[in-house]
Amino acid sequence: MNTDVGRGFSTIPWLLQRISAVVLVFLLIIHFWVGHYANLGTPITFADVHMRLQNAVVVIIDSMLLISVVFHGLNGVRNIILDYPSILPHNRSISLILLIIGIATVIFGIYSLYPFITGAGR
Amino acid sequence: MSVKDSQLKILLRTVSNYDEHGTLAYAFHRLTGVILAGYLFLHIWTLSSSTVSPAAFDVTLGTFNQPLFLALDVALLAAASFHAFNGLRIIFFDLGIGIKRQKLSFVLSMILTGILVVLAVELLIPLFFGKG
Repeated sequence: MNTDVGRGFSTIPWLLQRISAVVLVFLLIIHFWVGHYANLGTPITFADVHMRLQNAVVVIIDSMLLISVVFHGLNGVRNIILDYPSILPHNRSISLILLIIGIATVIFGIYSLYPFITGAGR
Repeated sequence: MSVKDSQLKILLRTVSNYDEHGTLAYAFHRLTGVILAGYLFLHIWTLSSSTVSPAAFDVTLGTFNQPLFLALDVALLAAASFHAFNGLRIIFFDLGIGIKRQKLSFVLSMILTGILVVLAVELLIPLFFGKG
């Protein structure tokens, strides 16, 4: 066993993985429902999303979805890396790289969401 | 068998021995997890066409309304559903619920995923054959 790893190092990500999982179950049901089921067969348009995102609650829900899904996905990748030490030895720099990818993805996601809030010069 | 390669050997053994439900659930959870993580980045990347122009976004999303992508949406639903049902199964085990019913709950996860896929395919059939 690797004893130089701090006790909170794996327990907190483990707990956050479960919390984000439960959050995602609810938010993804809403996401699938709105994106696919509510207007089945008609393509999603910029105007539709723009109108929907005028509601601040929707912006908060979408941002929560983005943050939880990016954390859950990248922490899942970290869990897989932890399981195959012979292929890719785990160290803090891998966690740091994943953290940077995660923060960058959330920023890029909000950057992509922003034109829907403003209407992108329409 | 050393500690280092044990995980890989377990995975390889699972592929050749499908009697091990727990390990099969573990392998499916991994597989769907990797697929969903990959999809997440593709998803955010394609939606970023919104930053180009509203028209560019509409063109991109119009493409995704074609039958091929709707069929892939069903595959996505299958992966997400199994991952969610099996994930809840894991959380219940963590809470000490259903530990003695691991095989049953795995089969239940598969059945519930199957039901959702059948419902989704049923919804898509009129779209595939109705429009021509």
